[in-house]
Amino acid sequence: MLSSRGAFIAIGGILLISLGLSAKGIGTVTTMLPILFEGEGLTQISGENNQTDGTQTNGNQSLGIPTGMEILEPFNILNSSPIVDYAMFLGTLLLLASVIGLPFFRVSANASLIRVTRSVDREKAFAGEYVHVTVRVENTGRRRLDFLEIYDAIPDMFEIALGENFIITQLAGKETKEFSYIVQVSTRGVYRIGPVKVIIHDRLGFYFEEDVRHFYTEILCYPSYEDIRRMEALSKRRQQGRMFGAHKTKQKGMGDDFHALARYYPGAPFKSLDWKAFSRTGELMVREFESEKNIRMIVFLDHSGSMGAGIPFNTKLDFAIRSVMLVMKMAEERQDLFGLVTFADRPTSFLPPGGGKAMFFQLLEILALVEPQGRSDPLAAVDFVMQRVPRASFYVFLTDLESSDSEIFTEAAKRARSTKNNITVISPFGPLFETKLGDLTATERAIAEAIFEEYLGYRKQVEDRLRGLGVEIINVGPDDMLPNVIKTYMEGKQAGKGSV
Amino acid sequence: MPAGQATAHFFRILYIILFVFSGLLVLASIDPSMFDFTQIFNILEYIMLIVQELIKVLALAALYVVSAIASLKWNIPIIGPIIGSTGANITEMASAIATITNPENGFFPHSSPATTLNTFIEDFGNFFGATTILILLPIAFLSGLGFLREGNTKLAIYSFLGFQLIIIIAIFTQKIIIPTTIDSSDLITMIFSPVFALGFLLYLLLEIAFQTSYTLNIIEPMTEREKRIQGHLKRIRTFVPLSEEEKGKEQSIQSMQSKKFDLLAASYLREMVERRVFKKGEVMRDAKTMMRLQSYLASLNQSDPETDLKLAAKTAQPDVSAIIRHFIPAMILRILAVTILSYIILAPQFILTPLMGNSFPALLQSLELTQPEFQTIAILNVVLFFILLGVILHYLTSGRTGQIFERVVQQIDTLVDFDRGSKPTITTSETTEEEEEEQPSDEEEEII
Repeated sequence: MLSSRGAFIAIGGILLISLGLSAKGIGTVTTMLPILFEGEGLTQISGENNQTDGTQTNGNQSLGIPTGMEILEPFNILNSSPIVDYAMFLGTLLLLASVIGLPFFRVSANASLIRVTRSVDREKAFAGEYVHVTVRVENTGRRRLDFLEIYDAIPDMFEIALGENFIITQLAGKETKEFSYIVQVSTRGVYRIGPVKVIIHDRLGFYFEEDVRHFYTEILCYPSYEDIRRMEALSKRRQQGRMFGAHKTKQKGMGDDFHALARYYPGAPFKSLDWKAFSRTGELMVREFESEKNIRMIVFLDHSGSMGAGIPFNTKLDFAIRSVMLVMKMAEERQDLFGLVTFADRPTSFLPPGGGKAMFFQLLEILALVEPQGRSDPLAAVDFVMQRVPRASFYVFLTDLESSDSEIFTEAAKRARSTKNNITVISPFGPLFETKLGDLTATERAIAEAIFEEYLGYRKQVEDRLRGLGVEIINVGPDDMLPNVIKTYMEGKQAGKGSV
Repeated sequence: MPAGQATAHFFRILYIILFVFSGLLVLASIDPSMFDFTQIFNILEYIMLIVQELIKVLALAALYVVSAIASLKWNIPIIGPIIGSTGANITEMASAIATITNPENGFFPHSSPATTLNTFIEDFGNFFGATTILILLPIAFLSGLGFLREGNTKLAIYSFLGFQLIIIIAIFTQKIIIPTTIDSSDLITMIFSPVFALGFLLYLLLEIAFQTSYTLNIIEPMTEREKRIQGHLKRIRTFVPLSEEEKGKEQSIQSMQSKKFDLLAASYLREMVERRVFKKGEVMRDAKTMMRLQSYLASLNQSDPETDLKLAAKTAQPDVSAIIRHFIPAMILRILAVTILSYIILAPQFILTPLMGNSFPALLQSLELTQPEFQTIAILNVVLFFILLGVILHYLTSGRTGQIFERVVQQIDTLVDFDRGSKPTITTSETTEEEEEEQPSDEEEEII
């Protein structure tokens, strides 16, 4: 295929030949092109020819001037040899130059003989991590390729951290070349690296052949591990505040850890009597022990369309996912059972309560693929979970309460409470994720406040109904969502909600 | 200096030599009168002439109208009496207009009714020539220099066009001083025909520009890329995060700057200074990202020691010796082929005489063979031949013929109802063991 450069040279040649023919008096430049391409024949419309044909001629034609070109007569260029010769010579030269290499190019430039392979050092990565992509180009043919361009397309969400995802080189027959680049995956999801575009040029850039290879490498990008890493770093530095550290579910009863002394009560086991305390106080005292119990926590992650609202990469869903990861990690460390159900208009994925590293990676895969879509049906999700986990658990809903009717929420809560499940709803408040009041003008702020009011009104209705059912509701914004989720988990654990 | 850059410089120098030589040759080939820029102002005379002729026509029209009004003033209803009362003024006006239209009173400085069309054409030619030089010559030279600097072939094309247009316009306005006939009696004479040599040299300049552009596009970016990525790698490897103390120091400097200048200006200045002095520009990342990248690179290097080479695409660097070995002979061959083919098209007797011998003397001696009509038909055929050849060769080498052949064989097999289940028989002098097993022995046959 002719490139723009080759086409320019070829068209230049055609125009010059047309100019030569025009100067010769065969026709104007504009009339020559149709003649050349439509094959009307190159008949010189000169007076001499017309006279020999015996046709009638007017005054100008008798002088050898073609019709419509009389204006050029005084310039003495018609039939002028120099301009004709030069234009013809240069036109011929350019036209030949533009096509002479074509057969050679067509022989050597066979894009199907270029084999391109791609490899990555990892197919799964956390958001913010790096992936090393290596592209190998092999010329399976025997002929040399002078000018080869290879472009490996990367998703928009990837940022090249080092190296370049293309190469311009030459490739001898049977030769192989390699190049690589490092990309940083920025946000969770499944991404495909590819396709690869192969462009072969000739040396002068007159011709090119292009081929797009539709082969892809899939990269699964987990949500960012940054929060967990930060938490781990905090733990390591022993800066464990109220939120971090050992918060055990302590229930009086059988156990090894001493809890407190209490007055003797009838029926108390004899072996629990503390004789030292008796001698000290003169009253019968019994030692109470506490048992450590794990909890069963199931997070209901709403990924309906409204959860996708917010600033890109910091939507309600993004924060909810970060929260889930954090809680899961904490639950894993504390050996609690953690389950997850993602739902929109139906449950989309379910991870039964459990623990361990394998499960953590399963959870990451689920979270990587979650996309905001559809409406929200918490009732279907509750039914789905209750069928599979009949025991009382600690249900934590991460939902904005926006994509569904309040009745459905109420019904879901009723259903869940009927089997003694504890429910806490952590609800990201939409407007807080979409705007920052400080950035708005006075008018915009007034509008935003009105919207806030409307949202709050609706939310209040839902909250009132749910609170009546013993459901705790926590409204959160982007700044306090993560701490609130962790706090909910810690308090739930302390209170022994959904204890196993 | 790396070999790649040396090759790129070689082509650049070649282009410079040809460019300067061609430029000087173009300038030497045109009439020095084209450099007489005062000719441009001559055309203004004609513009003034047109204007004054327009005024004259308008004045004559006005005189006619005024005279008519003066003669008929009493007969015109309503306006007539009014004009009649100022009749003296109208008469004066008519005589004033009459003086304007009189060319002998010197009112018109540009009165030259004797100007002929030939004088006009000559003046127009001078104007055209001078304007061409004034506009096209700087374009041609500056574009050529621009190409040397940037390696953009568009600029080389502009330069080529500029020079070619100068020559064409010089021929058009008959201001070329070298012989303009192309003697195509034989190849050598044709090549050394001055105008052919000039045009050819300019074409050669364009070819060299394309070759130079190729080396610049292939070698320089790859060399630059290697350098750049090696630099990035070094910077990442040697990156040491700032200590708390240094951070504090840096912040105090920042705050001082912020007080002195506007915050934005200070950050901009700071960034510019860092880029200029420390060359941090390209990979300025925050410390955490850098540290992470650093450890990631270290792990990559542990698993594959050639990571750095791959990242810098060092293994994909073009082979400079191949450029010299292949391209220079290929370029020479290409130019020779274009020249010979041009000659064959412009002077077809060269090829037709040995082909036809004395069979068709009328055809060979025909004047039509050297006419543009024949040349056009010849060039069209040659162009189409090359295109067709390209298509056929591509078809043959793309492996499609093999596929089609296989398909046809399969179709034939189906048509003749070949036993497709049987293995292809290999005719050998010895029977294979399998065949021996398959063939029932005489004894078995008897049992059956």
